Amino acid sequence: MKLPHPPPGGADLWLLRQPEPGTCTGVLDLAELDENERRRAGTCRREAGRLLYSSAHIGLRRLLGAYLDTAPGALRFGRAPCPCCDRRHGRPVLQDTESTLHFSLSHGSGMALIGVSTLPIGVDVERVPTSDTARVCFPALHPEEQSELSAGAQAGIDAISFGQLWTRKEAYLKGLGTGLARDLAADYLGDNADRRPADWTVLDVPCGPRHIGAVALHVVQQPVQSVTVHWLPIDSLYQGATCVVDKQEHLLGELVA
Amino acid sequence: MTDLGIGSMGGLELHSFITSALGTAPTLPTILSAENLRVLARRVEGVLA
Ligand SMILES: CC(C)(COP(=O)(O)OP(=O)(O)OC[C@H]1O[C@@H](n2cnc3c(N)ncnc32)[C@H](O)[C@@H]1OP(=O)(O)O)[C@@H](O)C(=O)NCCC(=O)NCCS
Repeated sequence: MKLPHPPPGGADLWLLRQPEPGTCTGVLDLAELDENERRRAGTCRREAGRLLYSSAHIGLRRLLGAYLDTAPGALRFGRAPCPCCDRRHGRPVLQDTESTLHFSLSHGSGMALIGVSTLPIGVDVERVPTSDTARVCFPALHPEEQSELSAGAQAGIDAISFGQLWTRKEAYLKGLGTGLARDLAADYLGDNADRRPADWTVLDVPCGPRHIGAVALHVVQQPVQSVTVHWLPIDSLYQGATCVVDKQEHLLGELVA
Repeated sequence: MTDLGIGSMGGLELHSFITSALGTAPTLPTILSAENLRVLARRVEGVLA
C-alpha cells in the first residue's frame, strides 16, 4: 500500500485509539519492530501499556513505510543530535533514506498521535488532566500564559484550557527537538496565535472528549497549507490485515466514542 | 504513570512533589529521560542519598 506525501507545506495527522483491554480482535505483528522497540514493549508489565506502545510504533512504521514505499520492518530509526547538548538523544529520525519527510509521535493514556509532514513537526496528545495536575504544573508556565489561565478563574485553573496549552507547548518543544529540557517558561504558547514563536504554526487537534492534542510546524521555507486529521483504525495494524489507512469518514464517530 | 517511565505532565508533577517534600529533586529532564519506573526510582533515591 502506498500513500501520497502530504502536499508541500502540509501535514497528515493520524490518530490511533487503543481498544479497551480484553477487546482486541486481532494480534499485532511484533516482528515489524526492531530489537529496541521490542525490548521497550517487553518492559511494560501491563497489557494496556504494551498494546499502546506496540501499536503506536507499528502504526508509525506502517505509515512511513506507505509514504516511502518501503517495508515497515526495513525502516531504521535513529536520534538526531539534541539541540541542548548535541548528544544523540534529540528527535527520532529515519536513517538510510533520502526522504525529506518529517515525523513526530506521541502516545499515552489510550491514544497515539502520529504527524507526518514536509516541514519539521512536533505533535502531542494527552489525556485531559485533573484540576490538581493543572494546579501543580501551572507555576512552570510562561508568565503571560499564567495570566491568561488565571483570568476569571475563581474556581481554579480550567483543566481543559491548561491541557490544551500544555499540548501546544509540548508539540512545539518536540518540533524543536529539545523536549522539556528547554525551560517551560521560555516560550509563549497561549491563546494569542500572533504572540507564539515566530516561524512556527501551532494548531489544536480535536481528539475527542477525553484527550487533547496539538501540532507544531516549522514554517521557515513555506507557510502551512493544509493539515488533515485521519483515523488509523487499530484493526488495520493486526497481523494479516490489509492496511486500510484512510478512514476519514469514521473520524467523527471515533472521536465521540 | 506508565511502565515506560513517566509522561511529561506527570514528570513535572512528580518533580514539584519531590521538591516540596525534600527541598531538592532530580532535574525535570533527569526524571523524564528515565526509561522505566525502576530507573526513575533509582534516580530519586540518588537524590536522597
Ligand atoms: C521527549 C518528551 C517530550 C516525551 O514526552 P512524553 O509526554 O513523555 O511522551 P510523548 O508520548 O508525547 O512522546 C514520546 C515520543 O516523543 C519522541 N521524542 C523523544 N524525544 C524527543 C525529542 N527530543 N524531540 C522530539 N521528539 C522526541 C519519541 O518518538 C517518543 O516516543 P518513543 O519513546 O516511543 O519513541 C519528554 O519525555 C522529555 O522532554 N524528555 C526530556 C528529554 C531530555 O532529557 N533531553 C535531554 C536534554 S540534554
